[in-house]
Amino acid sequence: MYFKYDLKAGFLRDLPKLLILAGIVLIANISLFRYAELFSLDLESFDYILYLVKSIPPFPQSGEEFRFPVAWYLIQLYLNWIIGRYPFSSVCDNVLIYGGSRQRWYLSKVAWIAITVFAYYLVMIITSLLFSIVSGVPISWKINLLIHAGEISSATLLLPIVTSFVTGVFQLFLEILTTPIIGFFAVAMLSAASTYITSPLLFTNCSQLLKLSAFSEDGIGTGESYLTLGIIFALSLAAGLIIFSRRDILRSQRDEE
Amino acid sequence: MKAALKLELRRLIFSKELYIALTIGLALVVWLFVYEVSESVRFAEQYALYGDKVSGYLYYPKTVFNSSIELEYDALPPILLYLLFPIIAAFPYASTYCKDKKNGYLKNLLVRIDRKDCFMAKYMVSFLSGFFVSGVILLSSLILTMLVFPVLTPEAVTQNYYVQTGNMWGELFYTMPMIYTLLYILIDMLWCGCMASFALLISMFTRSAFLAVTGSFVVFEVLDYVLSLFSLSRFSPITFLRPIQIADGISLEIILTEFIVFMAASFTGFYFLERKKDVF
Repeated sequence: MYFKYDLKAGFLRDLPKLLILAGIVLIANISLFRYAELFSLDLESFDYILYLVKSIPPFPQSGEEFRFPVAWYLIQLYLNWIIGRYPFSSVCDNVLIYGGSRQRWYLSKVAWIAITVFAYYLVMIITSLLFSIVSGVPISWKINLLIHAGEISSATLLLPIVTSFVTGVFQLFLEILTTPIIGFFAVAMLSAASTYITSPLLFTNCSQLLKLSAFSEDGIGTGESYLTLGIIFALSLAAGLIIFSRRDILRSQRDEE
Repeated sequence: MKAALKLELRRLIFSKELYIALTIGLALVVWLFVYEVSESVRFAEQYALYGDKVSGYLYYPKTVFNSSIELEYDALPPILLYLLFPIIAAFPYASTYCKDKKNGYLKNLLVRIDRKDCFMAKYMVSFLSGFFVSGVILLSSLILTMLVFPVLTPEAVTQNYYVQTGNMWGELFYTMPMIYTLLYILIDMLWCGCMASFALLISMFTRSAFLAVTGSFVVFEVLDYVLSLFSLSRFSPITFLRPIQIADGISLEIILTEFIVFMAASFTGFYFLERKKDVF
């Protein structure tokens, strides 16, 4: 019952918001296209997708100035914004009573986050592919934009999606612990800090391809990333379920108002 | 008007959101302060060992004008603070209008207070909340840094300062740096007030406190990204708010014109349009 409702009230109602994402992706693609033309780079369609999640290499590099990865940050921030808005809207509290189980309500929200993240990345990929077709960029899975040591595994390339999902679950836990605004703020701060400090503890690093060992010498390993994300996911889910099942919802709603 | 203003100010002062925003901002200030002091101590130890040439550079001490949160250029706390200023500024008060609409408090308020006074007071207190929070954070950093670091007049030749002589008020920075810093803090305070007021404009379209507070943040981030792609970062508030002037071509005309435009948009929307909406 919960999941069906989340799909309708959370996912389908938020679908038009993904048009803004498509706009952001389109602007980023146009900028990369102009850059490639200016410097005569032979880029292919997969480069346009990876460009959105590449971010910057571990900082500080010798003698380099810190340049904030605005594209990556904005894309992650918008996803967190979409995730932060829905779960605790007052409509859901009534649904919670009808469904009769707090655990199922919470797990349904986790499933909703998974679907939202999947749809979010799907929109990014489709927009980039459409842009490539329209602008005459060759369609292929070859990586030309990022320098890499050897063969890149699909586990590495899936890390941005997995990290976004785990970040969403972590945000949900923070929202339960505090408020949706503070949860969103904390995740926005975590993402910004992870552009500057490279450490698996700031796990949003794992969604920045250039911070991974496959693309940077002093980056984070894929195995290490999955281990960290697994621990964060398990802890967030368990703590979220425990806290939510004991929470006085009516009181916290009054405090909010 | 006085009664409405007093009421809204009381709500601001006794709201926990104000203290949360101040705590976050001051935590960043203290973080930077500890980092700067520990860096200076580390440098002093190196200096005691190797004398005038440490790491191949001539010795130049850390000063207030490259250690306070406004003027430090390569540490994380200022990056976080200036990036998150729209949300820190809007957090203390901007959500109250949404909450008032949602829980019916606005109806009770409007039967007792004149509509014009009520909306004007809300707008003024919203501006003041952003103005006050940013002021406390930035001035605290300046005062805290002055307790430890010397107030040396900057020397461009040392390359220890990010502000260039060709930047807006560049000459002022290298002759009267304290005036430059205080003037820039004033600009930041005005703009944070403006960002908090802009959140009120967003709250016209929603009953969700989450959207009201975070909406302006997302708008300013998107604006910053789009402008940076077209090499127009000097027009982005998130960029020009940093006193180290990370983009070329920032000018007082741009800062003031945009300030007037954003203030006019939020004031027109909230005071003239929202006031006329039926809340009953």
